[in-house]
Amino acid sequence: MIPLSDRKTTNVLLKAEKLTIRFGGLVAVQNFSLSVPAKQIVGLIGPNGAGKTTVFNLMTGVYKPNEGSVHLEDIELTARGAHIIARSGVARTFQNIRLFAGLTVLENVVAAQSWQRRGKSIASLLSWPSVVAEEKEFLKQAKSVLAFVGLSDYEEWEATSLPYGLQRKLEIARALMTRPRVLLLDEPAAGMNPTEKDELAGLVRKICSNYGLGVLLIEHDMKFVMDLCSQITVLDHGEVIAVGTPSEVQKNPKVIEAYLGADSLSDTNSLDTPTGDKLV
Amino acid sequence: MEQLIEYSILPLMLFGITAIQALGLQLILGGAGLLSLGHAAFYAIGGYSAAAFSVYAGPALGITQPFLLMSLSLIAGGFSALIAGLLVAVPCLRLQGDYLAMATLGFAEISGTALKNIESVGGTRGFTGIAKLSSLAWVFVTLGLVWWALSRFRRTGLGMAIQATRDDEIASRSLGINTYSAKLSAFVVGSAIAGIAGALYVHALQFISPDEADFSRSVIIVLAVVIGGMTSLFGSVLGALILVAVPEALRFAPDAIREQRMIYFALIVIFVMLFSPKGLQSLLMRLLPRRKAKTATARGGSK
Repeated sequence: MIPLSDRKTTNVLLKAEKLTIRFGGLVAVQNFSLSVPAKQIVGLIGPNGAGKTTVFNLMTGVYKPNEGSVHLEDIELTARGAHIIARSGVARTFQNIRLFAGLTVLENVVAAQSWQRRGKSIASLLSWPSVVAEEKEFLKQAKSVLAFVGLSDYEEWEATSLPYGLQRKLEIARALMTRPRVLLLDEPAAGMNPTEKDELAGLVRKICSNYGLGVLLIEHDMKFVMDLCSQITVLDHGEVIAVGTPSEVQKNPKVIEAYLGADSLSDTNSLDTPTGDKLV
Repeated sequence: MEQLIEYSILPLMLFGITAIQALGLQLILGGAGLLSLGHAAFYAIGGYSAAAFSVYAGPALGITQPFLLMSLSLIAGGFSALIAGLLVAVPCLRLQGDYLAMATLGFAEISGTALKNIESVGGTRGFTGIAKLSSLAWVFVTLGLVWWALSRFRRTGLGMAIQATRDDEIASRSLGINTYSAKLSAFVVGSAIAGIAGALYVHALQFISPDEADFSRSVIIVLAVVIGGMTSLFGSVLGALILVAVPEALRFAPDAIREQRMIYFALIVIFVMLFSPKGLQSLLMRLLPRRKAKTATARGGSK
């Protein structure tokens, strides 16, 4: 009975346990465990090539793990199809933005709810009233999500003609349209200027509180991660080397070594550079 | 004059039928981003099935009323092509890359050879003795319906899923879209439309031969879609118009010029790829507003 009450207090949504994947002889991720609670922002950091995106790909069904499991509350997600995992409530964005280039901004968001429509194709071809009402309802939702991320003025733009920062926001809007319970963001602040980053941090916080989502984010910008996350997992060479609050992780000698090399231990005791620039 | 009208009916029908075929391929190629090099095979299968229905099955069932017989033949043609499409797509769409193009190409060759060896549908001589049930009205009403349905289909959930899958499969899956069933639906519906076109064809010409499943026929349809503009329904109809009109226009030209029509198509494709990669329809769209702008400035200047 203890685990049940335990679950209630921590309210863990997404839980990865002992994930391992090998590509031929290379062990890309080994024994990786992590939990994402509701209404919390969890960070996943590590040097380039540590396996962060691979972890995302394991959790979202792009790769099948050799060992380990992924659960969303009580739903087993391990090795299920990517679209099944998405429908269960895990949405993600991509490091290299993946928008639908042939569609407008609004259509990008509408496409993300295409599978949620109950109206069958024949009925929608004939424009049955119930289907038309449903389409209107979904369009309204899509527009409100776009308004939420601040893209209302760009609805008719071609998605890939948006400025870079807005493309990232559109990817988030699109992910939100699937009504996720957990949102995985892969380097959402990459290529953004400081003002845009602040705006994005506000948006992620808003998503977390307004939608009650659990957020897991990969990010190289240390200031961004440290400000935003309540819990951070550090990955190096496919293995977890530290877990804790931002201040705990910053002081962890293993983390400093991974980022700055063994020599730096003597002259640095914190990850926080004066400028807050990214370290990697 | 009367002769001219009579003469122009057949090319017009051929244009309508090619346009329907092209619209079907547009859904597969432009909609789902899948290259099918066997579209003519589905057209031929639809044609043969429809003919077999109206010649053998229809009378056996006691259906002789032309309108009913033609309607049912259309359904028979579309349905048989749909089943054939399923047979090809179910195994092939699980593969990545260009396997589908190869598989459809192989399927078209097999279909052509198979049809040549079925004596009850005429074998190599082709299927004859089909009633003339089709007409200009049948062709253009069907073309209109297919066009309307496809333009509406784009906005449905499945239509959006198909376009999203074309643009980015990994992103689509991450958003809950079943990309396999999206591609499968596009392929199967596109094939069924080709089958309907085949049904119209056999009842217009009262004849079909196994050559209709030929690779060169499939290429013509791919050309129509590419020349017109892959992303647009109007483009496919425009492309079909060009591919039917050019050989017709050359009918009166000397033999030496006429026989090179594939060269002209190749030149058109090169021209389109160089100057308007989104097809002739996008060229038209770009030219039209420019002309408007010109007349506006002209008016402004005269004031």
